[in-house]
Amino acid sequence: MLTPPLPITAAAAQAGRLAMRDVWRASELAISRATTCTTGHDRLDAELPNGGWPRSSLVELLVQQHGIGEMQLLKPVLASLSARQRVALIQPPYLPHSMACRAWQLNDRNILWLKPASSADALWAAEQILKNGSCGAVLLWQANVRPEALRRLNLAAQSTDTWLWLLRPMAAAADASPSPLRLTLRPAAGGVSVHIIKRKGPHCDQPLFIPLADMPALLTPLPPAGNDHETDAKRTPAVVAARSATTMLV
Amino acid sequence: MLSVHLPLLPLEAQRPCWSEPAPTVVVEHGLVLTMSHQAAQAGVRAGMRSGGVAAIAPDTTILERAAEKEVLALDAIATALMQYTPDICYQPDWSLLLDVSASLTLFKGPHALCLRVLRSVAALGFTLQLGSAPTAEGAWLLARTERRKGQLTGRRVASMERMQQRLNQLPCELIPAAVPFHGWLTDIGARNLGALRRLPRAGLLRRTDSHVLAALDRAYGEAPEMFEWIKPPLQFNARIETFDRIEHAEALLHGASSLILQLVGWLTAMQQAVRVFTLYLEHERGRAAVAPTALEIMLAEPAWHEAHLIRLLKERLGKLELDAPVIALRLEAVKIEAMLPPNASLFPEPGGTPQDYHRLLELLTARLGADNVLTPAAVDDYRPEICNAWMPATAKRPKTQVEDVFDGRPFWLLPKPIALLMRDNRPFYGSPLKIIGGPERLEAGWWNDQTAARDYFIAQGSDASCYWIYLERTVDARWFLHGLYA
Repeated sequence: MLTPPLPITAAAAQAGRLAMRDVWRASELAISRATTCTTGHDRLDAELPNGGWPRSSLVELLVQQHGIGEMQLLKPVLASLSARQRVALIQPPYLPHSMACRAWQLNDRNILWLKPASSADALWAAEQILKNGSCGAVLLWQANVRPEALRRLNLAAQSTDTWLWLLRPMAAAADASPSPLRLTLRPAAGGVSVHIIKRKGPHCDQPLFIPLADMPALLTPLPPAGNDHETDAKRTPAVVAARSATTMLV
Repeated sequence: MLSVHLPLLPLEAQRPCWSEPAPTVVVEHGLVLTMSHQAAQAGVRAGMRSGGVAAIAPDTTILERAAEKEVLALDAIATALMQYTPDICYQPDWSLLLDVSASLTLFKGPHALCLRVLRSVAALGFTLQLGSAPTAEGAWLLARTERRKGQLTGRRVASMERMQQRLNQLPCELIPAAVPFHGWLTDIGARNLGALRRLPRAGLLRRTDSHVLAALDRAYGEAPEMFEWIKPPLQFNARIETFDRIEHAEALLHGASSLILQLVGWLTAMQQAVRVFTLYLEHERGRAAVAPTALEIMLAEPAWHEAHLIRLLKERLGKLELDAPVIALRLEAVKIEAMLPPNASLFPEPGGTPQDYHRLLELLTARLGADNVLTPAAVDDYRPEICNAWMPATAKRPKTQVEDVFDGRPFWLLPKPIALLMRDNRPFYGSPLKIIGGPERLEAGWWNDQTAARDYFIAQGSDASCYWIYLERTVDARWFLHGLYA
């Protein structure tokens, strides 16, 4: 006579999980020995393999446009890295503001801004920095990168102890990439909307909203509707241009 | 003891071994002295008349021997090899002697050291035969042996016994003093040095020169040897001719790297490190004289490493546009400092040493230019465009400390503020902008006629991205976009 199967109790399920700890399930995030650094955003940490930005690998951030909070997303990790190591910004789209760096508790002595004239120079500089290994993080902005250049960057990143982020336009999301972690960033009020399009783990269905503490929308609450910006525009400011050193000396 | 023998020195002093392979011979008093491999294959032999060469191989280039170039070349090689040992002296027959007994541990053994010497001399553009033996005379004899077919014996030996075995097989005419007696020695059956040594000394001394026995004794380690080591000059200044008019800066790298090799050798011998050096590219002289182009290279950290210096030079030459063809290169060490001993820590730091970082900065600066490798310069000013000053990373950071930190500044600044369009009395950038913060009033620069009087606001577009905009406080007030909150 067949004995009916024993009901699986919660304790038994727990025991089973413990016994098969070494088995990876497709629904879980990959866990490896890779070193990571916490992103500083709990919601993002929970969705990333090993709970943070991976070191020694190419991380792609695909932004809808520049200036939507991508730097604030990286702010916690850059602040902790720049305390001791150098952070290189290669070919950023605008001028980095050193006062903002200071206000964000980044050590501005350790910030290096490279302005290569061409994309080839930028990729060369990134590779040299990765090979040298004396910088802690590299941020590289590129619009069009050839797949072989991406592979080369990924290989160069794997051979060093450096964090590497590549910021590209959103259009590149459809292209194949050797990068193990790819995120798209879209603007959102008071934060940024992050969608993980590639990671070592299950597919991520929903974009995550990451609140960013320093995004100005949170600093000052939105004024009520019919706010005074129109009056701002209409207000005739005190004219000061006529006053200058020469006129005062006359 | 290492002996570096340069069999093709008269030829390679005028045509370095990296130049196009072509049949070339060097003649002295109308007789062929040395010939290139291609000329030898065409049938040219040493001692042939130049007329005969023209008959056998008509397309051969015939060069007259230039003794002063050979002296310069030998000097250059000696200087470059000083990175392996300070004890170098000249030997007859285009050879140099290196006493490397004290350098073996540093360069990880005799084999690795020989490889490095071979590579350095090849980089200078010379073919060499390297002999190594416990005695200087022995090394010299071994270095000059010709390789023959079916003879499986190398030119490098380490122990006294092996050296004596090897020397015993060498032909007598390798000793210059024994050359006049070659016929007589062959007749009595003394074909090699072993047989020569077995002859009774008294008889040999009576019938030949005393120099033969003296050389034999020195080679076998039975008589002391005296050397006069080359003293390095106090100032480094090396020059090399380019053998051709060179019009592409990158093609100069061969010549420049051989100069760097000499510089490295000289620095090591003097225990100095270079901080500033200048490469002069000399152009045409005479009627259409052009002043030499000077390429000054400043290092953040004094260096004496060949690979680093060559890489820096390569990047600088890659950027250079030549105005006129170059006929010669000259390298001058402008500023030198005492070499600091390497300070190896037990646990190397993960971020690399400060020297690594300086080397990286120099490399980046060499290719991208000093104005494109920047670090924040602390400037105290309220105007964001002045306050956000950046300076070359290789420059010395001023001592001033900026204490003020303003919150709420955007991470991206525009190089030049953009005047915003107005729609429905609202500033418009992609979408109508809604003001969510501000104003912050800045008024500065009135003291030098660069008055900036602005009210800064934080504005938000319809897609929730935030902008830093300002209203200029002039008669026709206009809105400008100055930053992006990234």
